[in-house]
Amino acid sequence: MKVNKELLKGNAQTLVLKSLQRQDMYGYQLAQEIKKSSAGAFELTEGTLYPILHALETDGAVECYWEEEGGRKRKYYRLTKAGKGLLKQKTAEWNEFRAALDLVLGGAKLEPEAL
Amino acid sequence: MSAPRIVEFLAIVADQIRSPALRRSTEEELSSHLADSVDDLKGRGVPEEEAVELAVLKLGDPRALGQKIRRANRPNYLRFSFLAVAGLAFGLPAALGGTLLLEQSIRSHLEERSRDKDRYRQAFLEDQKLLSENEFFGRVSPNEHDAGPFLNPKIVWEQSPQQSAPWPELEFSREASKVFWQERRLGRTWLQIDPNRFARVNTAWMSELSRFDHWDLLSGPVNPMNTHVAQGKGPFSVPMPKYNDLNDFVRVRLLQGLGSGKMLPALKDVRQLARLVYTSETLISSMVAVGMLNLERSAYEEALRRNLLRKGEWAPISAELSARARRSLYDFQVWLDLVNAPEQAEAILQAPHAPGGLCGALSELGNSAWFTRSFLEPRVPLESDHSAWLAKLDQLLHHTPGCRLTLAKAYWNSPPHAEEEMAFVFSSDPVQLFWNFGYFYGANIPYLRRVVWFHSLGYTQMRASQYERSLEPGRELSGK
Repeated sequence: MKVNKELLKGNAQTLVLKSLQRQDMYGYQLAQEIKKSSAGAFELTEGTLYPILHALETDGAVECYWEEEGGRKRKYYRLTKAGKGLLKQKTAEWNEFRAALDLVLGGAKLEPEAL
Repeated sequence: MSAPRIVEFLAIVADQIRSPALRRSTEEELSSHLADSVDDLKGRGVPEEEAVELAVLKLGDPRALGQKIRRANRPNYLRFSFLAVAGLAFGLPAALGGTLLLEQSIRSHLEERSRDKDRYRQAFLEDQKLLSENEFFGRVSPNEHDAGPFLNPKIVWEQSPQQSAPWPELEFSREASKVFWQERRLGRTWLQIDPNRFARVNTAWMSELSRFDHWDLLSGPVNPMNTHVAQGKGPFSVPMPKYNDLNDFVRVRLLQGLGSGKMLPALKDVRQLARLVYTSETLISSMVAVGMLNLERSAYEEALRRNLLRKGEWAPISAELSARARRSLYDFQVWLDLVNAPEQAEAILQAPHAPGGLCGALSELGNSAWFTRSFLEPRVPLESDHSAWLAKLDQLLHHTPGCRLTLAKAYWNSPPHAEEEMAFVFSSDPVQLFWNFGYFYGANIPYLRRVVWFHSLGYTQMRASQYERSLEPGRELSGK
């Protein structure tokens, strides 16, 4: 099931950071990876991906380098220490949000561990 | 990839981006993206022409994409504002975080304005040449007769809990200062004040200065600056002479010359004090010395008007040279080309004229770098270019001809901050938050070292055109 675009919008950055945590990637590779690892639920519009990557680079969360393979130069992105911190923060925010939403939707008791 | 559809798409994206470097790298990045996308589609059996069209469509509207990429390469000003506000409460660390963002915005501007940077560098080098050829700025002191033991115990020290003497001999009385304030409030120039109003101000000590050739602020048996440094306290709070008082003494001495008609001795006394202040080799003292030279020039011109002197009897430092000195001192960061590339820094350092006339600026640079080094070294591994930069600065501090740099070397060769100052920096949670998010990680050091001083936040590549314009005829000069 494809996820509503609005939900994806606020979390695209987290998806990118998480993917880069696993390995350095270039833009096209990242787009394919996000689609694959979400079993097709998330398909980032390629036009959205590059502004996100550039903004993360501007903010110091990722850094980039160029590599040439088969005559084609590709710009790879790598997560920085600041980016790891940001991912940690985003993950914590998401967990908190999800637990609170579960509470509202499912009436579950709020346990400290859920946060 | 050279398919016309792709070339057209990339051209529209590039049109939205002003920075030439960003434009080039974006075109390259998107070109390889499209090539990968086309290959992928062709691998799934899509014909080439259709694959190209699909690949381009998947990237969306090229105009919007270019604009978003352009905006994404600007810093997040909201976050910068937050850091600036946090900086008011928590001082330097937040300011440093803000300077990182500012530096990133400077980086994109630098790429656009490289032509202005070259003009700036040429103007700066020309300033250095003219200053080094001038007798006042370029003269190397023999450093044989130190005014420190004479002056340091007598002056008032600012930022110091104790003074050299309970009643500093060279404290300019409040009563006398009021005279200047009153005249200023009335919109009158100090040159018109009746010197008899300063009858109680003793300026005889100024004639004793002729036997000295430099002034070491650290010398002498009792010295608040020495004590401060020995206690391991930082350069940002080091006690400094109360230069306002010395400036007031200069005005009174010049007024005495105008009042008595004996202008030459007054001008000589002031010139000598300015020279000693300049040789004390701090950035502030260098600026103050330039200000004193401006006061001297104003009094000389007044003396000419009153026929107390003939033209040529005295050679004041010209307004233009004074302005060049002032702006050079203000732009001390450029010495090690903290904004430009290292090879360009090398060009400045290897210019035919050594920057010996700007020892105060070099001292400031050393103090700033010392703070950065002690602040960061225990925490992050230094990038190789930063280590090379520190080595270069070390060489300058120890081997620049004509510069003693006793204060800068005292800090440079000393251990890091005293613990209480470190505690101030790291005790607040928001500061720890910045740290935990790694804002001070190694790759940022080259940018941090460029803007260590809070006031350096104002330094951007716009100084290129401002630097040149500052010497245009008709521009108001400071210090008059």
